[in-house]
Amino acid sequence: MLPFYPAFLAGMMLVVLADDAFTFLFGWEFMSLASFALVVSHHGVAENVRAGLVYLMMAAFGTLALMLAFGLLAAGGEGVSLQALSFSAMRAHGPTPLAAAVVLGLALLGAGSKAGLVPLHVWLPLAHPAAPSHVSALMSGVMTKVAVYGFIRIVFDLAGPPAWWWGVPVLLVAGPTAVAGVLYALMQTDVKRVLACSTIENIGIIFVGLGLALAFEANGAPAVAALALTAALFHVVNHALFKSLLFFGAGAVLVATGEKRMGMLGGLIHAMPQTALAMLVGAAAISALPPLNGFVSEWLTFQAILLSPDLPVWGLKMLIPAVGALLALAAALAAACFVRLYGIVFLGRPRSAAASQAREADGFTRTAMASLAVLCLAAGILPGPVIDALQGAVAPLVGVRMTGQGHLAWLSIIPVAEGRSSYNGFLVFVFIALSASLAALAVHAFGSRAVRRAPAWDCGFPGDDPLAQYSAESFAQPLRRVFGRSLFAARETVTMPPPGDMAPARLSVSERDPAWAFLFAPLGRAVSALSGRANAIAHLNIRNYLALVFGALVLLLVVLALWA
Amino acid sequence: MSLVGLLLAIPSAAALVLALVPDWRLAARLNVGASAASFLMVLAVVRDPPAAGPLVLIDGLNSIVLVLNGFVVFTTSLFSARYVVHEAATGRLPPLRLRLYHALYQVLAFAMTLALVTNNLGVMWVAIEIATLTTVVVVGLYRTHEAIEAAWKYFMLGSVGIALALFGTILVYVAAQPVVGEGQDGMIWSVLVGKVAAFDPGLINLAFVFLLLGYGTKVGLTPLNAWLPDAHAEGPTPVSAVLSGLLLNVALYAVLRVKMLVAAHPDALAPGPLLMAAGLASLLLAGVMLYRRRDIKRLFAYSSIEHMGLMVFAFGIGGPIANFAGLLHMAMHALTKSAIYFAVGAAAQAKGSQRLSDITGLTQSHPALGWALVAAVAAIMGMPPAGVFMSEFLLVTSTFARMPALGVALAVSLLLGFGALAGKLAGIAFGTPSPDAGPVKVAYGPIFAHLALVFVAGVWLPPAIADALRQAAAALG
Amino acid sequence: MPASAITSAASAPALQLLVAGIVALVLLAAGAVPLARKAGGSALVYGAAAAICVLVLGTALSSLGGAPASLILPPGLPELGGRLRLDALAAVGLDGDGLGGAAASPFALGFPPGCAPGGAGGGASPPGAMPATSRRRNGCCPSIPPSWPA
Repeated sequence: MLPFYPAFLAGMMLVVLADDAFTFLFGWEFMSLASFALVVSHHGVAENVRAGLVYLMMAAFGTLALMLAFGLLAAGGEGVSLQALSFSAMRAHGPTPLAAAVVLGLALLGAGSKAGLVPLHVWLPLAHPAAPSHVSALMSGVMTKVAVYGFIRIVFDLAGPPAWWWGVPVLLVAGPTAVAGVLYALMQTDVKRVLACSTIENIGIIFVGLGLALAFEANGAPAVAALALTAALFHVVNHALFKSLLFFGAGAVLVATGEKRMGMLGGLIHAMPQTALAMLVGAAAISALPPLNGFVSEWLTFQAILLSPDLPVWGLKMLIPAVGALLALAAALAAACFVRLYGIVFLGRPRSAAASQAREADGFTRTAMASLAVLCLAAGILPGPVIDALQGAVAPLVGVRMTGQGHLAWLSIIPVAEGRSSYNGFLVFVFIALSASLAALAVHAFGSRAVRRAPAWDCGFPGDDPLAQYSAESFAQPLRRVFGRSLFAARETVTMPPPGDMAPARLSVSERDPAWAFLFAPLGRAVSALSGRANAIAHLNIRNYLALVFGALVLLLVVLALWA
Repeated sequence: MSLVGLLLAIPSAAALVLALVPDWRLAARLNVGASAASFLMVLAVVRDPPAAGPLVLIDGLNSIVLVLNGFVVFTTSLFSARYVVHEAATGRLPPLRLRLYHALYQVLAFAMTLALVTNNLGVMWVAIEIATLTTVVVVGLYRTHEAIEAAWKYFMLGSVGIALALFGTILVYVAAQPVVGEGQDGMIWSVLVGKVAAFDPGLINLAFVFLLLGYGTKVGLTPLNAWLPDAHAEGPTPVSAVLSGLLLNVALYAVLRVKMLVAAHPDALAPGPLLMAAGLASLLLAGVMLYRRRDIKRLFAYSSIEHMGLMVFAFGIGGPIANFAGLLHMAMHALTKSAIYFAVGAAAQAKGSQRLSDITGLTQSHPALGWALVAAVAAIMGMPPAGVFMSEFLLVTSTFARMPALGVALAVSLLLGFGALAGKLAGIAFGTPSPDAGPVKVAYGPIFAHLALVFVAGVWLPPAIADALRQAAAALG
Repeated sequence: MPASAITSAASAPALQLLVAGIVALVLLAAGAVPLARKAGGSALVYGAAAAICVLVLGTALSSLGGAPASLILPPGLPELGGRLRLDALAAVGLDGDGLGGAAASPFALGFPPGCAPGGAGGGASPPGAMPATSRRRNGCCPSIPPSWPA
């Protein structure tokens, strides 16, 4: 599958550079094909082939939706001609309001299926774990961003000025995507699947920014739209950084232990200290903890949300704070999710022989992770230059740019106004570094030096079983009970051995994805039923076939008679 | 003798010679030689087309189909030379039947060429019926129960098509006779097109209905296509390739000629909506049927129905872009589908079975063959960089721009077919390899030549070819 | 897409460089077919991909603030050609592509050929993918006793 790796990269780059519909979709579909081949790299496992198929179907669906969108955009131009398929012709002749609205919907479907908007996200938790880790990192960190790019290009650039309500569908999809994504992530026990689900959450955050930008731009607040779009693009960059980092970490763990089931890992911080440190940075960044980069972009998004009372439309005034609440919930749950991931995998004691015999990853892997971790920190401490660099892209799309941030004193950023809010990643970093060192010093200086090393008290049960530790399931249990019952139909059943039997009790957990259960599974059954019905035609006898021919003849003659 | 005469003389002479050559190895080589000579002759004819006469008409439209036809007949003969070695070695085809096979191959080539070059609707009917009857015999060549049944089914439904098309042809003459007078002018297409506006619209409409159904049976339009999957599955694989890649195109070409005739009449029925409906129905039904296929050759036969439906739909939409897309799709489908059949034939020989459940994990057991098949099927599914992507892109965008509801229906049908083929392809190519029946020599040349053309065309259509397609598209109206 | 096919002269060198990068990746993909079976072949491919991605990243970063440049290549739809345009938004997108590729390629380099970094772990993953209509497993993992309800 080696040839598909550079082909995948080339496809993603071609999409971004394309300036006509054919080149764009050519690159888009080529990228899908190459990544499908990479997903089925290990096609000896039936699960991976199935994951690849689900992914390929969603990709084909997205491509067709975008094809329809481009058809409409081209129709707004010089009628139907090949020239009208260039982006410059589409820009020159904006679509009618109705066509533009349909284009918005199709772009949400087409780009959303690639990016992973709920309910088109079902391929992500399947395909990302199936692919090799460097491909998972590219698919999650970069390819979903190419989808975001496609959405921005079509909706902000080609579809003309937005109507007042355009932000509404985007926000309505994006907010639930953020929460559902992180809830999925919390219930997963496979490291890479957790990361894949967390990508869904981050795509939700990015689309919240895009929806805010649309809402503010259409309602006479281009400055705030610039802020929201900047936040979204900043989060695009951030997610590319920390999600790649986290997938690399998962890959390193997978190679070191052969395991990606959280229940088989644990205590890897001792065997793989450098990987653990890099993963800690990534986990803190994705949990939006200052002074890392994830905090800055989510903070910027919230700054835009806080300006929603200035909007003239009541519906948006109500909707945007609600989306803000969803976003806040998602951020909190993400923190829980990564505390769980990090704690189970790297802390505690090894839960399997493989985990206890792990060794540190090789130099290439550690270099790749370390450089991404440094970039995460740098973007968090120095957000001003990043924001300024993004303004070249923001300004043509919403008409104005944010005020320059790079030159502000003490590296702080002031997105709206001095009196309103400001953030200084550098000061936070210095403060955290100082206070942490002081605390460490103080503990060392004043803490009890009378350390006594002895076995932990085992409650009278001898045998030091690492499986008695807090587990991924137990960590997720409260959230599964609160959110999982209604949303995922999560069920827990405990099978107790009969009294006197020393066998362990078993806990089984079942859950289902509503998007799969209520949308894709019925769809699959419908297609299956339809093909079963239609298949009867393949097994008729010759008389029936001749009857069909004459039936067709009669039908056509009737049509002819009616037409005349 | 004119070039066109030579063009027709080569396959007919070759058929005679091949009928007399007892050694099938020599016959296979002669078959390749005759096909190559025909292909060169086609190129000569197309480069310097003769003026339209009462019997011969070479214009932009049939030039494209002729070149395609000549090329695929030639590459298929190359594939066939390898294929028959295996069939003779396993004893599935005794030498006498191989002699028949090679002779009929050239008869088929002759009939298709004749149908394409002729200007006379009557001769076209005769040629297409020769082609049909020839393939009936070839489909039954294996003499198995299934093969005989398939040939019989093909014969029955084909005969009905023959009868309908004959009646339609007669109706055209009846409509033309008051205007152009008695004699062969009443059958000459180029004459008819010029004077059709004065014909009785009722008769022309009736003729169109009969010709559409008659030739539509050969195109494989729903619900007239029951013969098609069986004929593809039970005959020798080279003939499946020629059937899918060429004979369907020739029949579609006949439909297009009739469509142009009717469209030139101001008061006649608009042929577009009928073609669109028939095309969409074929597309949708074939897409659904693909899911339940258990035989690899039947699977791709249904895929051919799907793609012929797509082309008929495109020509029904009409206009420069849709016609361009339809013609491009015709070429791309012919090249890709025959490449698929070349690969499928080799795969079926390697695994000793045509059942999908017996052909799995091909990329592992036969990497080159498996990946070639993956590339070809991905191409027919409309993935870039194949030319099918370009034609489907043009068709979907232009349809949605003009008729949104039809555009959505088209997209949904395409997605249905895509999903079915993707699922089957995953089973064929990936997973645990099924046991091999024995070593097989694969003719990679034709497969890779077709794939290379399809992939280059998807990225870059040479301006000369693009111009030829554009002119033919403009002529189609 | 041959690199010599560039027709428009009125395009920024940055865009030409990026096109060369894409062409190089495509050629690399073609070259990877024979290389995949050779020892050290995958290292070569990943190394070259990393180098190209670094080039793309650098070019895209430097053109973040530049004026839009465009280019029409002969491949693509007839009449229309392959139209490319490098504006600030495309530069942001390319930054992501280049960054991801520049990080993932060296990461993939770190693994010996034949041992791809990842995958399903040879079927070790628990059966039943997440969006299956119903997922039912006994315990969290086969060898782990249940976590007791709190």
